Amino acid sequence: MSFFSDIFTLDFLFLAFIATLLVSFVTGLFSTVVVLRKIEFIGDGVAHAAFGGLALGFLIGINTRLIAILTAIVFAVIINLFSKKGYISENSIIGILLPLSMALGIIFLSFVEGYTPDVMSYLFGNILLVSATDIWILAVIAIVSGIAFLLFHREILYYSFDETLARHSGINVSLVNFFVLIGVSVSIVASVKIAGIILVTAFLVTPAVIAKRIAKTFKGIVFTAIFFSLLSSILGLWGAYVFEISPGPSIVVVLSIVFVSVYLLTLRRKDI
Amino acid sequence: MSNNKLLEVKNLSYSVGNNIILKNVSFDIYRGTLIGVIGPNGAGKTALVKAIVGDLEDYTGTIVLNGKVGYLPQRTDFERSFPITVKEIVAMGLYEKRGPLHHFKKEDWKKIDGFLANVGIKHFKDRRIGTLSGGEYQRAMLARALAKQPDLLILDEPEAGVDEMGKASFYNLLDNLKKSKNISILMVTHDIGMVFDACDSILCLNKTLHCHKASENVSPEDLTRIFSPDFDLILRGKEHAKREHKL
Repeated sequence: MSFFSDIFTLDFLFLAFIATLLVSFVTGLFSTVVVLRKIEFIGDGVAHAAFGGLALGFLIGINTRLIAILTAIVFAVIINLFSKKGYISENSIIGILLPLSMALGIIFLSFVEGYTPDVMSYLFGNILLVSATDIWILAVIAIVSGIAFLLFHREILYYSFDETLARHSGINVSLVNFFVLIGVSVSIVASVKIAGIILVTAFLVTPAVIAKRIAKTFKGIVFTAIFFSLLSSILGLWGAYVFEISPGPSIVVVLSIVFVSVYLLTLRRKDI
Repeated sequence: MSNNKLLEVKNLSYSVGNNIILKNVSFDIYRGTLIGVIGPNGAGKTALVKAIVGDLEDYTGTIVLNGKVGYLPQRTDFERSFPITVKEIVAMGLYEKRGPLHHFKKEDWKKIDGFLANVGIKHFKDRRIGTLSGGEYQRAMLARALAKQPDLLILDEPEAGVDEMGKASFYNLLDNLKKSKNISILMVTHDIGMVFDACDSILCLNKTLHCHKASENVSPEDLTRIFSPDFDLILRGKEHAKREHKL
């Protein structure tokens, strides 16, 4: 049996395949803003905060996804606030909050009675955890984010270039900032089952870094990032199937191989 | 004359903790003038500009604006490969009028061409902003500010990163814009060498406003007062500074 025929015969593989495509689309989309706005640190911090949120959800028995999203948003807002106001450097605040949320996550999980979820599944992803509900949630996130990018690409571009100029041009920078932080937080939590908390940053950064070496316009970078994100995910999932390894790490390795290849191929370009 | 008053600043004061940034600054700006704001680092020049453009809260005093403001903030570092073209930068200036969800039409791009022609860089419209020289970059930013069709242009250190030739032609451009569009320009600058030729009047600021005079009436003493005796050293040489200030 081949990978592509198994997708349509094995339910779990079909769900994983669709979820991976949706995750790649959403993270590819947001990776452009994350990279252009240079807020990679927020992605990394938010991903780790989501772990604490998931564990808290398990402990109190409330919708884990919702708690994880809320925790991720709170974390993103705190980092953003600190980085703007300059009370403490953003690297320092992430250095404090990132291990704290991981530590709290482990402590919360140790208090969970009965079935304890496998920590490794959340750290590195586990496609067996993907459910039909996840697909629906991811589909809604993908559609809403896609439409928002289509309608407000100009605002997102100006905001990414220079907040002060954008504000003085009449753009509601706080609203765009809020959309980006919510979008990054939600897409990270939605990607955890595929990518895992440790690896999701690669999904949020590498596609746009690759795209920046190829495309010159904002729209071009968005579409190229989505393309390479999707391509790497399909190849990564296929690799995971063939070599019987975890899909999350496999996709990250493919993304990195694509990055190195594109980097070497564009090394002589002077306009990058 | 009072009908032409574009800006009235009265008793403007601003402090951060115990640190006084601005103290009782008062002045007026009338239509059709180019005003330079000079003073040493930490004199409160940028704070003054930020208060006028609405970026500063918690100040005391009043600021009355009778017209639209176009603002060119201090140049910040940006990635040279950032995917934004010169015409997209200028289009930012039209955003407020057009609003969100507006798809730019042919006539919008024509207008943008016009603003770029005003500052002499229409031929660079499709270039990425990061490929421009310092002077060309400031012209693109100026075109963005002009696209708002302001009555008062406020520029914060527009000479930063521009070579001497570029500065001279930039000031010449400001003078032309002032006349052709009948606007006023308030320019914060460290360019003491050229500011007196470029501007009609000068605000000498060092926390308080030491003078607001026509350029030709600003004396070396006015400058010494805001810049400390060190300025004499630059202006008139070591011997003079030693003699005058017993250094």
